[in-house]
Amino acid sequence: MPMKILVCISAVPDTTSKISLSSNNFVNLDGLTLITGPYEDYALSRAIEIKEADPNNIEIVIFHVGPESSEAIIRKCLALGADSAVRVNTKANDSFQVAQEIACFVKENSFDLILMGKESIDYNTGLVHQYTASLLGWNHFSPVMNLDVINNSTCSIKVESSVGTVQLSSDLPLVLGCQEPIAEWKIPSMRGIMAARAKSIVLREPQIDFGLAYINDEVNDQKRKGQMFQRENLNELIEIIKKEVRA
Amino acid sequence: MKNIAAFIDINAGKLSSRSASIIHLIQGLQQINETPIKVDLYVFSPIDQIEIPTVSSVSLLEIVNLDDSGILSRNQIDAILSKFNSEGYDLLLGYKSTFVDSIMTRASTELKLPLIPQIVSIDLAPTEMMIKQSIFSGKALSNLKIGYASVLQFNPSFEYKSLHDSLIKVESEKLALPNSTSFSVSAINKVPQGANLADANYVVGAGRGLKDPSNWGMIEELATKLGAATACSKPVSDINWRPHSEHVGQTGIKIAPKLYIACGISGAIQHLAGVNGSKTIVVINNDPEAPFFKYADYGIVGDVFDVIPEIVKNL
Repeated sequence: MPMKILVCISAVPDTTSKISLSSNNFVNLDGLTLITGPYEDYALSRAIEIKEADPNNIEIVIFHVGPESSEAIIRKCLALGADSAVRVNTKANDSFQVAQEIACFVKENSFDLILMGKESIDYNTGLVHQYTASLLGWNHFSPVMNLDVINNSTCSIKVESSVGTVQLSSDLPLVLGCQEPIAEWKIPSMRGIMAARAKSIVLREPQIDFGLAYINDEVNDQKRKGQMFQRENLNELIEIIKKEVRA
Repeated sequence: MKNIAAFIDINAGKLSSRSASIIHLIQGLQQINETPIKVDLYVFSPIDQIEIPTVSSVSLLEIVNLDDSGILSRNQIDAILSKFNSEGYDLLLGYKSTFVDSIMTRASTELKLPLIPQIVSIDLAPTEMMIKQSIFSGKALSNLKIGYASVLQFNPSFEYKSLHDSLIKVESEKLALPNSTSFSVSAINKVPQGANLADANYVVGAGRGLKDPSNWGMIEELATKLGAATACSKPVSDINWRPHSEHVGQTGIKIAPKLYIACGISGAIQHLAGVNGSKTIVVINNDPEAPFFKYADYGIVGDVFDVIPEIVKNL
């Protein structure tokens, strides 16, 4: 039996994107460049390295909750070396909804290892891996900085914890939230891009309703004072620092 | 609302400022509620007693027998959940941390309570709460209304005004967890600071402008004078001038101090994503074109090796 790895990815606007609202008062993603979340890129890169070491015994499936506009980045994940992909055809609304979609899919199709980023860079909750583990009753670690799979049954992991970094081993199945330096980001090869065209992206209908009903979004246009000092007025700045610390 | 459980943390023997805001919110919750609400405060570090802003019917529970690894195992979370079940909590409050995340997601799933993360502000109405969440690393906010039966997790910049100034002392009871069973640890590499950076009131950050790791003495001196934590930019932690635990930014720690002093950091958007929760930002950089000046409250164009020692001398 090959080992099956599910890599869950988010489609997020590039970090440098300027956020604006659409006419319905929610963040407008139209026209922004979407990328695979940087942490998920790390997770996928490590999955591919694991597969490269034992290509016939490892299968990588990409899982994504999001609309058709995400297909280009899913295709890129396939070009990097994932075997197939599943897209749940709905908006990713909240962490619990996404985790339930993942858990539902994993219960129908058995997997040994679920990898994702430690957090998505749009809503920054860092909860989807926690929730997924909770729904499946699996062990869970995050943020994972190093991962080795031993005999397709145990993972040796380096993880950041409240005391520092910890090297540990835990049996599969596992859910892991990943961060650097778990692997180097990869660039798709021409051969990978060609091969990806023949790989399937299976469309799946959503199984879960949204958990949270949002009213609207607003842009956080925090104004800073922007007061500049010359070197000869450094004393004035020092007085301000003193005041800030006393306040 | 029946019973509240809240996670609080302790910084140098005192209630942390992020936890003080959570207790202020509990004051507000007790005030709008007609029937008395019991409050259980959970803490993960050794504490016999602590002073907190006054709330009624409050207990302090110190969770003991934590694993040296700083990781909660599934069977330990099971034990905490069974306590939660027997106490019948219907409102859980907590700051953001891996420990708290792992308990809150389990509690949300098993007690069937919605979890709202990244909260920056709350207005309390008689039957529901109006909540603002930080999204896109603070570049935008989301608004939602939610009933009182829920799990609330606060962003470092969350604040709630205290309703009364008085303090009370609470003594802790111990809640012992079973030994962790689900993993085996082979090595632990402890990092001294890290944990406090996200809750620090004052932070001094430094970047590549410092030129060499041996130049961090003056940064540490400035931090000591201010009672501040030290932070660094991503390039500096990437080349191992400073530990990864000091890295502040999009992919590092998000800070929300009262004062952030950035020394020799250009202000890449990834760094700003980690510091935009700061109340006041002071930028020191010798490049007048550094983008950070656009996001500063106070800026000075000057050589860090000249300006910082001068500040240290005059504080």
